[in-house]
Formats: sequence, structure tokens, C-alpha cells
Amino acid sequence: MITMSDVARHAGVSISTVSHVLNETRVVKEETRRRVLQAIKETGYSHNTIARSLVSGSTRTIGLALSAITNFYFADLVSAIEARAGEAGYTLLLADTHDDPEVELRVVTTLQQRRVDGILLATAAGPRGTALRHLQEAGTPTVLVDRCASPRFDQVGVENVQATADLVAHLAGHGHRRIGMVFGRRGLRTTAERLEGYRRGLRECGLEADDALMAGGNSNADDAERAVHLLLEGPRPPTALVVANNHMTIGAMRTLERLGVRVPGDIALAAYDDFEWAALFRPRLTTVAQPIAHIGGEAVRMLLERIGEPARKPRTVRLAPRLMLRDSCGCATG
Amino acid sequence: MSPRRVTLADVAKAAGVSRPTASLVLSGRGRELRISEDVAQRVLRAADELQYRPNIVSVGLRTGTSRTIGFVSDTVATSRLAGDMIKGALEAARDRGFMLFIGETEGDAELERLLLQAMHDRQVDGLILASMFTRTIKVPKSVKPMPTVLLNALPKQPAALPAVLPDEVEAGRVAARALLDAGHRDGIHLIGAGPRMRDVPPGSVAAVERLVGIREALGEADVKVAGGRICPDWQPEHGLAATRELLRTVRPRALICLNDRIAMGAYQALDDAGLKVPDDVSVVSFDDHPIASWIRPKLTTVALPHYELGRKAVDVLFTEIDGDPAASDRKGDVHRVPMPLRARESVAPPQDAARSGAGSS
Repeated sequence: MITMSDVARHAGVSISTVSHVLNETRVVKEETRRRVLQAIKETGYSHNTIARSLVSGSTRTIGLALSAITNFYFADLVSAIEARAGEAGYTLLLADTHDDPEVELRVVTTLQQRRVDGILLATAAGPRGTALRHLQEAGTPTVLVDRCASPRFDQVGVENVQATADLVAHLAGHGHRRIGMVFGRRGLRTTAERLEGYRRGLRECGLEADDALMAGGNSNADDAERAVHLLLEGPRPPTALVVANNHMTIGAMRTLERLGVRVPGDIALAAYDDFEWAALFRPRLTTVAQPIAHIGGEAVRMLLERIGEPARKPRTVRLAPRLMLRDSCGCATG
Repeated sequence: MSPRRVTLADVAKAAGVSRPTASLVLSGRGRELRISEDVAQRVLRAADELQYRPNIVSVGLRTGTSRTIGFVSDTVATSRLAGDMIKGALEAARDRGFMLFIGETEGDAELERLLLQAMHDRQVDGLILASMFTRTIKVPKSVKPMPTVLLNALPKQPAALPAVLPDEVEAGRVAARALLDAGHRDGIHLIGAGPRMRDVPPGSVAAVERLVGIREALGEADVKVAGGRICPDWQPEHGLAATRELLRTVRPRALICLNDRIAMGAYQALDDAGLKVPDDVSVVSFDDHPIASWIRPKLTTVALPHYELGRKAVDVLFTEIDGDPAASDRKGDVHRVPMPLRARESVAPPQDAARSGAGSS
């Protein structure tokens, strides 16, 4: 499903610029305007698809329960889900679970009471809450999004293992033998999967795993800052670094800068989570972009299938992230 | 003295149905429970004519069902931070036991109309019409008048609708004062808009208001803006081009960039010209986009309080919902939310005029 965000990225402009071109709300430079229209054509973006499906008098509604605070992609996910739901004639009802299993349960029961047609749930952290049991017992059409907490439900999440392995392979392809990793908070599935991918990547390239090349960044900038420091202090420091999320990348970059280590000249860097400004940095960051819009679209699609066919077997879908090769890994791009 | 509230019982009586029936119809469950279309229409008509508004608090308590408000915006995803507006709205709504229907119009008037209809069909108690970047909007003709609040937008035509906006004028003052407090008086250039009030990108409320504040604060200190360059859009490449152009003819002491993206471009132009921030040129900007704390030196910027804007919009909406819809002196109050200064590392006292400048063209 193509969104305005995809058009913007394709054209190399901001989303607001795309909106201005489409809706003629502001005069846009002719060259830019042409670029946007070209991008619309090339991506196959359809501006008015959504408009056709909203039926007057209908109350078809999908509930989306997720934590606003912990989800870095909150806005993108909501946006993608809203668009896809709208295409199908559903309105989106949004509720915040605050990453708290108790709140999550309350939210889920409230959505059920409002008779939503189906629920998309990004489960709260921690051991499996009772919300899932409730949903199962009530038979409410449900799809778990991003955090694949239970295979009893339809689930859609990101494929982390092979993606990380491919990233390691890419760095090895640049000639690196000492590839380090700053991994995230223990206990998170994504952390475990990315670590697994890292090891697999090393194995596939005939490289040995070395504990001195791995440090925990606890999924935040400050701990990552320290972790990178640790890695660089060793007798045989890494010549390339994989950082497992965006917050930790900030910390990593702070340390590199403070130590006067240049990227990619002294050390190659590849980071998880694309930022809209990753291409604005010097050097432009090579990132692993989460397929958020794709996840949102797929979640709605699976939910609609579940609504239409309540007895079908639950499926788990894992979508691959996109490797955005820029300059920090050593690729000399434009 | 306020008129007696129209109750569910009144509606039921007028429609000639029982209270539970009326309640089911009005809560949108009529079809589900096979209440005839004819009966449903009678109830809706009666509710309409009597201007029935459900007593929100008691309904919530009685049925344990959450109430809802609609949040219709042009787009949610212009930046991660703009999502904070929805977060603020979500949490303020949650505090009162409300949930949010979300709709994105992508700026399309027809889609907006359909979404508003959809919200109405789902019996939201109020609406927030939000814009992800501050601007004037054409207020859509509502399906049915209902409590509505504009968020981050002002109506193009006069409308008796409350609006919640960031205090951009004060932000302009704050940005200017950050330079003044550091001792700057000369060589202050604007990038993105200015120097005259009419040098602003079309439709940008933020540009006009920030400019007003900047000129006021500088004027109070008897300081003149040395120059300004308007940018047709506020993106890094425009900031880069404008600053580069400026540097061809003059060496500024300080730049007021109209947003962080422009500042990013400006940083690059300064770097290319061999000028250091803040030693050679101080830079202050607006928004507190995540980029501001990433680039070096970290940007001193006046923050857009997205989260607080979202909260405030919902709070103002609840005031509207709880209030008396028939009051004839309804006016469109504008609620300004303060924009806090994030003082970081890009502003420093101006260097001595006698100090030799290195390498500027």
C-alpha cells in the first residue's frame, strides 16, 4: 500500500510538500512539483482511494490499542493503519495502553463493549497479560501487531534475524573482519533476534564471534554511549559497528565524535531504524528501515480476512526491513 | 439560570418509544438489535428536534462504555514529533474515559467531508480538527453542529470555534531574546522569512507570528534586523541556499533560522564557508525537531509543544462539550500554548569586532 510518505521519500521531498502539490494549498517550485507528480506515477500512489469506501451511515470500526509512549513508530503506524482501514470503509478507534497490561485489559474490554468489528493490538511489555485471554474467549477478531506475543492469534511483525545477518554480510563485503554490535535491552524479543542474526551473519561469512566485539546498550542513548566507548577501548577494537536501534545510534555517534573517530573512514556504521533525517547527516547514515507502513497495511488486511472468515487458522507474518545503503557503511553513494 | 436539560426520557416520550429503545438507537446499536428503521428514524428526529445531548458522565458510569471524540487531521505522520499531538490528545481523552476516532484527510476536502460524516455516524461527542503544521484552514461545513476545536490552525473565515495554537509570537520574542541576552546587537540575520513582514511563505501562520515576536523583541532593545532571506519552503536545502547566498555578501554575527530544518542547511553553509558555530556565528531556531539535539553543536531552539497542544485541544473540547450549546455569546477563543526555549550550544556572545575572521569569502 503506497502512502504519501512513500511518495515523499521517492521524490526526496517532505510529506507536506506532497500534500501541497496534491491539494494545491501552496505554490510549489515547478521542478519540485514535477518531481512529486513523477513520484506519484512511479509509485502508483492513489490519492482518492480512501474516499470511495466510507459509506454514510455505516459504523464499521476497527480498534487499535497500542502504547503511545514506547512506540517510536507510533505516528507512522497509526497513519498506515488508518489509511488502509479507510480504504476498506472502516474508521479507526484509537486507544492508548500505556504499555501497562492492566490498562491494556481495560482498553480491550472497552473496545469490545463498543462493538468494534476487530482489534489490532500491539501488546504491552512484560509477561502475557490477560487481555489476550479475553480476546480469545470472546472470539473477537484480533491481529497482534509488531510484538508477536502469541501464535494463537494472527500476528504481523518484523523479520529481524536474516535482516541483521544480511547487514553483517554487507559490512563483511566491505572487507571488515572485526564487526561489532551494540545490542538492546535484554528480555526483548527484538534484541534476541538481532543478536541471533548478528551471529548468523558472522557464521555465514566465516567470521568468529568474539565477546569483546559485543556490548549491551540497553536500548537507550546513554548506555550505548558507554558501550561504544567500551568496545573501542579494547586491544583489537571493531572496524565496523552495527547498532541495534535508533536511540542507541545517537549514543554511539556521540562517543565516536568525542573520540574523534571518523565514519566511515575509521569505523563503518550501520544502524537499525531509519530516521527521516538519516540522509541529512554527514556522513549519511546506512540504516535498516522498519517496514512500518507495510506492517500497518498487512495488519489491517489480515484483520479483514479474519473478520470475514472467523474460523481460519491463525498465521504469523514477518516482514523484512529494508536496508537503506548510504555512506556510513563505506558505500560511496553519490 | 440554564434551561432544564433534555433527557433521554423526553426523547423517548416524543418518539413514542421506551427509554431502553431510545437509548439503543442513540448509542448506535439499533440495527444490531433489530430495531426497525422507522422507529430509529423517529428517535433520531425527536433527539434532533429537542436538541438532546446525552449526559456524558452518567452514561459512562452507568454503562461502563467509553465515550469518544473525533480527531481529524491532515496527516499524522509529517514527523515523529507531530505524532506527539495525538499522544497528548489520547492521554487527555483517556483521563476522562474517552477514546479517539482518528481520521487523516491528507488535505483532501472531499475526504474530510466523508470522515466528518463517519465520525458523526459513530456519535462522537466532539471534534478536533487538527493541522500538523500551523496554518489557516477552511472550516468544513459540519454535518451537524457539534462541539469542535481547531488544533494548530486558525479559520480562514471568521468562525465561532475555539482554536488551540502554539504561542508563536512569544516564541519569536524568546528566540530574539536568546541572542540579545548573549550580547548580540549587530549582524542578526533571518533565514526563512523576513526582513519585512510580507516576506513570508504563503499561508504560513508560524512565519508571520514568529516574525512579529522577533521584531518586537529586537525593537524593544533598539536593535535592527540586519537582513533576512525568505525561503519558499522550510527544508534544509532552502536553508543551505539562502545562507550560502547571504554569506556571499556579508558575514553575519547571528542567524535566526525560522525552523530547525533551515538551521541544518544553514549549518552546512557556514561549515562550507569555514565559519564555526557559535564562535563565529550564533544560531537560534524553532521547533525542537529531534535533529536539533543531534547536530553539533546542539541547536538552541524554541520548541513546538506538540504533546501539550494535543492535551489542551482535548481539554478545551471538554469545556465545549460540558457547556451550554445554545449560549448565544459563543465566541472563538484562541488558546495559546507556550513554546519553551531549549537553550543548548549554538548561541554564544559575539566575538570582538577586532578579531580577525578566518576564511570567509
